[in-house]
Amino acid sequence: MRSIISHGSFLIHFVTSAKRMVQVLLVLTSLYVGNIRAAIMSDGVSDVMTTGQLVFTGRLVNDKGEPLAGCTITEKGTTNSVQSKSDGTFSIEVAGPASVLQISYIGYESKDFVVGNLSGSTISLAPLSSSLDQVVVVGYSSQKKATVTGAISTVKGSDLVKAPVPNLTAAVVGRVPGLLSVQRSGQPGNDETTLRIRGIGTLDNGNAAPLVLVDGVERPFSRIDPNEVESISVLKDAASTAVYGIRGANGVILVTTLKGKEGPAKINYTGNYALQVPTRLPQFLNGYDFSVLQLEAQLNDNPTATPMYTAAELQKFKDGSDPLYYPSVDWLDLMMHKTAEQQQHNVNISGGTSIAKYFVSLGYLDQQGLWKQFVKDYNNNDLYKKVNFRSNLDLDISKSTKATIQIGGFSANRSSPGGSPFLDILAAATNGTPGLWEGKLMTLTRSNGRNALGTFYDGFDRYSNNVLNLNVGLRQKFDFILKGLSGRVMGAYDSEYGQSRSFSRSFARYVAEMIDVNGDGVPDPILRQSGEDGVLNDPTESFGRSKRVYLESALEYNNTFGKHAVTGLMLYTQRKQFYHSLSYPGVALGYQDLVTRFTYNYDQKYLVEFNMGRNGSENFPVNNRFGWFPAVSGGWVVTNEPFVKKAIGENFLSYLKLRASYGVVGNDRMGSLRFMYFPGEYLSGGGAVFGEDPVSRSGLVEGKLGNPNVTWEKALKQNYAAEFKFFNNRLNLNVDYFLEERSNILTARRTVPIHVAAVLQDAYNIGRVENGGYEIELGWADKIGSASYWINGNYSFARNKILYMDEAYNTSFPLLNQTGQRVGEVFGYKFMGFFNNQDDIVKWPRQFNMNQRPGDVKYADITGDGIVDVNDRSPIMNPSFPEINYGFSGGFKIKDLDVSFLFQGAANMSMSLGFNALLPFSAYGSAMGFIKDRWYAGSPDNNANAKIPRLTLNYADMTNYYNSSLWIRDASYLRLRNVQIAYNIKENILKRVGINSMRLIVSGQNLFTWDTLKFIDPENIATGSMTYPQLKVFNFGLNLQF
Amino acid sequence: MKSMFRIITYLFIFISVGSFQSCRKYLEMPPQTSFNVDSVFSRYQNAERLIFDLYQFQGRALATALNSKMGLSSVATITDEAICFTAQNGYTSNNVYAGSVNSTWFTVNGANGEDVYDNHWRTIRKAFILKENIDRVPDAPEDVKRRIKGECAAVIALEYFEMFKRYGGVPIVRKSLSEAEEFIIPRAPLDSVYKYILALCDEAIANPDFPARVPDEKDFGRLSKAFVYGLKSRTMLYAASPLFNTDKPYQEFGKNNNLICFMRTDKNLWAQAAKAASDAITYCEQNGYGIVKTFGAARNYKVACEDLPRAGNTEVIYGTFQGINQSKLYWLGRGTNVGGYAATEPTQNHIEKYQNTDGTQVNWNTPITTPVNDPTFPYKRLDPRFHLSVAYNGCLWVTTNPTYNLEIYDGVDASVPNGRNGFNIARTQFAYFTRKWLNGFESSGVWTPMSPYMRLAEMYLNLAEALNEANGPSAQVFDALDVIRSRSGMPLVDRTLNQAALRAYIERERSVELYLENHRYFDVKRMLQGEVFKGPIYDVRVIRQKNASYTYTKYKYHDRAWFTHWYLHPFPYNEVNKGYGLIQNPGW
Repeated sequence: MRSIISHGSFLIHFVTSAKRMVQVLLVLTSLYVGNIRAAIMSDGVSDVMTTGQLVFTGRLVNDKGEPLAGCTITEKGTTNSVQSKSDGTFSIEVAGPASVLQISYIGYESKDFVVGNLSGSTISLAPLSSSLDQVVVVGYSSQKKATVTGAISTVKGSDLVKAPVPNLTAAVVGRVPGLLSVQRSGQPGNDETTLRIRGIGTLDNGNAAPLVLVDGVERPFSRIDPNEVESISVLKDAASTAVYGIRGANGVILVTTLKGKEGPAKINYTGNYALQVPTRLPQFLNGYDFSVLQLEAQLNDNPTATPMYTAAELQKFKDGSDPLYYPSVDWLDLMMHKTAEQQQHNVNISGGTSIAKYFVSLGYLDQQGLWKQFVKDYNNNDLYKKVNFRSNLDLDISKSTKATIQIGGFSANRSSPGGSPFLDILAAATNGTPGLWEGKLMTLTRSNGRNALGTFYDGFDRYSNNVLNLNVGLRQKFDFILKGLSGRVMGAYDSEYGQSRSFSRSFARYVAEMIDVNGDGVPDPILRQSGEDGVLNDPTESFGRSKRVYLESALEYNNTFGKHAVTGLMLYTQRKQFYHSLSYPGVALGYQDLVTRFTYNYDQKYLVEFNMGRNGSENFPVNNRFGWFPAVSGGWVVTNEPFVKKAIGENFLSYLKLRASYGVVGNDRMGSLRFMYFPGEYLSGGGAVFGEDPVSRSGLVEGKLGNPNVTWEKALKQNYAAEFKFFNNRLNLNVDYFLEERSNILTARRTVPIHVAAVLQDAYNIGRVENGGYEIELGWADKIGSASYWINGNYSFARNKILYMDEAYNTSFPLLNQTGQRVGEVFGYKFMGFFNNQDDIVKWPRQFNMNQRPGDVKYADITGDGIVDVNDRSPIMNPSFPEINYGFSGGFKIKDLDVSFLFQGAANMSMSLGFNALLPFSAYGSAMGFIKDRWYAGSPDNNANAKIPRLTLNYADMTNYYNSSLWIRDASYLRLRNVQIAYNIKENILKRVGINSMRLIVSGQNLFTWDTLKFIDPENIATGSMTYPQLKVFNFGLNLQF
Repeated sequence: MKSMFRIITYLFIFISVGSFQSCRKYLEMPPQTSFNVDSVFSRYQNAERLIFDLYQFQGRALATALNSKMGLSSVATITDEAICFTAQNGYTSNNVYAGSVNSTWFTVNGANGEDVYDNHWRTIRKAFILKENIDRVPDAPEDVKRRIKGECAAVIALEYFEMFKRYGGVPIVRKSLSEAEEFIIPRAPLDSVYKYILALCDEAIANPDFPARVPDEKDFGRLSKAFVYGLKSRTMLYAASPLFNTDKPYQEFGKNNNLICFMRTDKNLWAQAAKAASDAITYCEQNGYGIVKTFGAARNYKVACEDLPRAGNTEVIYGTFQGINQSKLYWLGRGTNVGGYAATEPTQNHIEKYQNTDGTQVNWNTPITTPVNDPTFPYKRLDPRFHLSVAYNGCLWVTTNPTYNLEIYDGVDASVPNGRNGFNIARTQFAYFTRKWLNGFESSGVWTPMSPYMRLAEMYLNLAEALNEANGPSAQVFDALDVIRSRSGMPLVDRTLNQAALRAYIERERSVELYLENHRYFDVKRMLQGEVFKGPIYDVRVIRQKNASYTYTKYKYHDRAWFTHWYLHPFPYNEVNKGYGLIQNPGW
């Protein structure tokens, strides 16, 4: 007899014979009894210890029912231990039924259980790396990891909770091979990490975002509490994403929330208190250095000019004797705290009976920003507060009918200063104003730039966001019709409402003047007010809302015939989104999918799978809206061949699976365009001013011509992989190689003459991009005595190449073309050093027809035509999104202590040191510390170490600041992403107060970063529009289980 | 229990079948509320908005810079008329001075460049779509529809002229094209483009419902038949000029020479241009236009350049307000009460083009020292048009509140303070700043004068120039000049000038009369005098002496770059790279 027994939805045991099944059931039952007993005792109902000696006998088997010899069985808290015999049996004398036995064996999970009345039973140990038995969430279903043939990686919720980060997107970074990421900002509430699966396969990074589903429904996941997450699956190849068809080409992220398990109520509290510190902040010149270098810049421009600072003035900047007129303000120090607090709390209760299982969770997050409080009547700091809840309920209405009700949501409030304080700091000279003087907001006394504090006084922004997600599902077994047949329906409703309010007011500023007040002939500083303190204006408000309705119905089939296992799935979904951010916001966005899956395996040895999506998108002509997206995949578990087992031996090669997949997936999006086929659209715009009493008259502008033949992008994806496990599953190695050819890429035409169509934003299927790479995952897990440890590394590489993009191809200068290059390739000049003297200039090709000066940047004459001009640009450095991402994690557990760490790095990425930060003393008045490394006449080392060109105040000539390898810098980095040290306390004293176990946690995020940029975080958005920095987090956590 | 299974089973079957049934109609249809070409032309009210749209980019052609062109500056700053100091944009006139501009600056670089090539074609497409579809509008009278067709022809002619003067021969498009059609249209010979412009002008002129002048105050800013006459005169003057009217172009272009010149020298073109100018004057004056004469010699020029028709400006043929136009405030000197950027300031080269009211010239070649407390001494007797165009040391800045006498000077040494009120030379950068279009400015921060694209005065200058080139000096030439000069109280032109001297005289008079009206850059080029752009460009240094007299010393401010291939603009390289046969102009 063969059958599949499902226990809950997370554990499936395959058993090969009725006898073994009975054994397993016995073991399971006995364990439950033990657990329940233990629970009863811990509740204090029975804490009477029996003192009599008891002989306990048992038999140890592995997951396949084979006896395990040589296992160590120890009575907990004593030195009393025995070993199992060759048939797996053992016998041990213990103190009594309350004794706890600990069983450990190399390669298997250790097991603790209360003796109770279990003597004489068979006890099975699960292999340590039981990942093969893990259930993996796949599109619209789940599969045993052993039978998966697609490229899917998962992260467990237990790993996600290690990261003390407020945004879940940051917690997956480094843990999933094939996931590339950049986090541009750390601003509370605005800190989402950009994730790309296997890089960028289309022409525009903006159209390369993966599809994200939470509990089977398309929803964002960044704001989900990690304590509510069971697992995150990342679907990478065609086999796993074909079911998402027209939207699957960029890969899919599936988030599954936790569910209750049968058993007594478990109450789980987790609290975290953390301090946040910027990973890195730019250094600015102090008032004295600023003035000295500004003077140098002035005299560079015009050596005969009257110096803007006299020696006496410079001295005042230096000694700080007159901080009103000769200030030196460290804006970051003045405005920012060194640390900011963050708190996270979660309480959840889970449990259930055979009829109803529940998981209920309530969470709270409070993330403070780094700004100091300057304003009396409102908070000028960044702030993010969120209350989230989730209630997942599974009801077994009958033996064959199950219902699921999942409700999740959150309510968040965010504050931020009005304006952009970091940009203001970037624009504030350090010698221009003292900032605050006697509590008064000072305007500039000299120089350009701003008083960066002003933004706090001028207003603030408030946002609120409420999200409610609801899933209701019903599953029904149709065994009475056909054995193994079941069906399900699910409906989902999401509602989101957001409000943003912007408050502003005017605030008095003061200017300092020197006036002889008391007539003693010595001028005294007086502060003269300009402007009045105003009241807060009524806020400008805006609202956003969103509503999604989703329906799904499916028929599933799952059966085995001898060694043949077959599953099938037929599924229909439809979804509508109201109030979205795309064009025609008033017209709901709709999708429809029909999904088919068929899997077959023979003896878990030969695996075949066929997936197909038939999906429709409104973007395409009415008669051609639905596309077929088939994928076929197969696997061969080599180690399940008896001859292989015999030849190599399980102890060396425990497991080897080869798998391959091939299929087509699609993408229907191009920016916010909709109804791409819709012809001849006119939009409001244009127009001009007419009349002697001028009136602005708005026009109607041809919006697009419409492309009646438009269709979806096609991604032809191949994936080849091998999964190895060596040395009794202790070492595992996965290698994936993938290749994607994306054709029919939706993009605008670029070679239509302007005299034909002034309007070119229509989508045409004309792009082709190739994307390929590999992922390697290597892990080791073992035990030394009672200590277990593990290390795991993953490395991903993805590189794309534009094969065709309808580019106005430059045949004379092919290096200027994007075709043949990577998506987002950076073009610029090749930096060749600085002109050191007039002789250098004369010998060098003439640049941009300009007269160069010593200290100017020297560029390579790529074309060799004797002149440096726009044609001498070529691809330089790497695109801003990384091609390589790697993670290296490990940890160990000794007794009650467990420690883990995660290093993560990205490479082949660059950062353009944006415009504003590059121009010291310009309209953006600040100057960063690195400009000390400028080229200047009279440098003691003859400018051998000069890193930036001569200083200037006149930016009419920008040639020194063109995009070049001088300003595009390598932003590769390695971070110590996460460290966690936890200590578990299970003392009886806790039980007295009703606590089952307590876990003390110290953890940190982004603690160290190694890179070559040095002055700004490598993930930061280019310095030109500097944003809130990435954050280091030092966290203290407490976990209590009741 | 069994019945419950059944119920659930049927429920499944029902939901599944039901959802597959609804499949086809589930996805949204595009909204029918948005406009397409059919709905636009189903009502005049909608079609009218396309008319407004014809003028979307016309502001760029107007006489004063908008925020959408040349940064904060004016095309005048790349001629000897004016100079731009501002360093606010990395890509303004300063780069022209240095010679470091490429095709992007000339034709693509939107707000900071000289032209946007694409916008000409956008406007032409709009005009064709309107012209081709206006007959479909059910609720407009036939005469209104015909008027619109005439207006479309005029707009297309205007756009072609703007390309003709910058690029030479360009593709000729005769309808709105779609991607389904053959659209590979190469550059047409210069001569064909010239004839096409004239044909479009003639089409508009022949249109009986296209009005001679804009009939309604509300429509001020739209084209009229008088404008088309003027455009024809302007086009023919350019065609007759040596840049195009030659068999040997400014730069050898091999078999493509016909794209940049007429391949022959035809003196007769001057006579034709003279007739066109004369026709334009006649037509305009028959229809109520006239040189402004009634506001007194000191003010007439201001009315002609800056005022509205209803305020007595009978000279403006096509001009408009372009909304809130602050850019001219940037033309003020740095440090003035509104914080200008010295973005467009007169040069000493230009100042020297003004005659004294008795016809003599001020000699600037030696330093001029004024009498005590009389800073305006060198300027006092200059042409009234100078006083309405230029602000200078000691002049009354009547347009601000309160009024100032400008103090643009440096002290001779530390014992004499520099000019007060922030108007010192170190901050204004130059000794002069622009006053034209700022007469009446009240330091409000927003200033919206009328911006002319075409004035009747130009027609008299066109007539004088064409006649002098065709037949040499004649009474008709002198009279034409005197019409303009006498309006500002300037004496009659010396009747003894020979043809060459008169040519120079006309050129000088054109510079003075059309100062900052976007003519000079193209006039110099069509006359093949590009070397003029090299400079040197002069300014004067103003020093206040201890005894309160002032010394004006002319000094060379800088030289500028000029290359022969700059006679015509480059096409945007991106457009050339599309590979449909748009041949790039020589040297680019």
